[in-house]
Amino acid sequence: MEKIRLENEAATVAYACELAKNIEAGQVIALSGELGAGKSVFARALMRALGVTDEALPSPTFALIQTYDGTNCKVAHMDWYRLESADEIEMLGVREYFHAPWICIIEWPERNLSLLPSESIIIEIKTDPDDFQLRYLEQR
Amino acid sequence: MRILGIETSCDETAVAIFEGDRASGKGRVLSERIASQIETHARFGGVVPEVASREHLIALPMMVEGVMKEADCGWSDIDHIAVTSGPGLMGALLVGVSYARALGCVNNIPVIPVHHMEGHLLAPGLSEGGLPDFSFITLLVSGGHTMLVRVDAIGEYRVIGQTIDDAAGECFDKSARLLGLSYPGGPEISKLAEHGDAKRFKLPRPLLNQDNLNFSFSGLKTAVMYAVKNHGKFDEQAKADMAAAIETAICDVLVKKSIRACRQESVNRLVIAGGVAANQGLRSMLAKAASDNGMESFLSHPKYCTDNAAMIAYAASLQLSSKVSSPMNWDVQPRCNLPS
Repeated sequence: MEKIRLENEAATVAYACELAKNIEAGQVIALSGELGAGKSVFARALMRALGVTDEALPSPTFALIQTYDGTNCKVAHMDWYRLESADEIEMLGVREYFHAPWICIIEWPERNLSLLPSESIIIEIKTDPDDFQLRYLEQR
Repeated sequence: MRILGIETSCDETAVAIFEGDRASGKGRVLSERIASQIETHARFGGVVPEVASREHLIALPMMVEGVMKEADCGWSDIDHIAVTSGPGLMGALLVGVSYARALGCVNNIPVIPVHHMEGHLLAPGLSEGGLPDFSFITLLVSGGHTMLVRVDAIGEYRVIGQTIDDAAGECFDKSARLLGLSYPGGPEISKLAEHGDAKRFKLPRPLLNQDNLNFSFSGLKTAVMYAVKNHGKFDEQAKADMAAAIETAICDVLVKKSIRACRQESVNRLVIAGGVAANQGLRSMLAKAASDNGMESFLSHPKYCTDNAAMIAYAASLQLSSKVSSPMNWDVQPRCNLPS
């Protein structure tokens, strides 16, 4: 597992852009981290880098799944925060988004990690109690 | 004409019968019922889609029977059935729409799809005094939406500003969770804020200085997280002060952008609608800012700010009287834009 130090939001955005270059349709990217850690910042940067041009990228917390058109792919942005059981997540038809042409970004994947395809990229974002700008990122 | 309204887009099951004048669409609510699932969902810390769908299905038949009886109506007295077709949770919407269609089919009554946000936009018209004259600007704020809409006529809506990330209601709920308060967070924060000093903690006012009408509340939530962590142990007074700071920060941005919207569009009537519009702090700040700027403000009755079915039946009544036709073929739309 890699542990990466990101000094500020700009570094997080740059990292997400770099990641975007290496992913293809069919990829699932799961983002975990506490409330306010910066999952949405990361997700939005990733979506921009994938070519999503919509002005507003609303939080999927309420709607559960937001979908967009990217360059050479479609992007699904999900939030499992409000979901409880594996059944519920399954019922939403999330698996449909785990294949091309979709690139699927999931916040709060810990609600049901077993549902993620084995080749998913799992990224954990951690904050630092002494430096509000700093983030540590672990990718596996 | 009598219209039965059905609303099941999220966690409230609501039905109502509205009697509207065919020419003006105006009228009165004959009977209404709202069953809240807040207690059920509080256990989970938020709305659970499958639980919500099941609860709607259990509640609907009894509730419809109840409003029909109270309004002293038989099926031959109902001219239209209006139902929320979106946006909302897929499963929850499907329960309401399928039920409405079945009732319509059996009793030979036409079914009209209503956009949930159009219901909220027009809901202030259910209060005494009715809707203001066109055109007006509405600040629409709820758990899932935060937008500024210019209303020129029934069915003519233009979104002139919106949140680029979290909704204001979501910011209330998530900030409340960071403070360790229970779900739903908005009302809990308001209650605490009454005894708090908003100046003790400094929170940002996202996008306030940008020259547009968009909102952003995601960063504010992060600021709350750090302020909470940084402070160490949170006693009751600190919690109240933080609640006041959160409420003031959110309301400050909402109010200032609403006033800016009216100026920019040269409209001097400002309406506030949606679930967060029930927030007393926001209502008084908005009313004051409007009057300071020579604008009229219209605050809907708190009862019609949150999800309800009277607003759905009322929106259908206004559509019928304005000859706004609904599509022949329509389906549930979990995500859809306002009609324009």
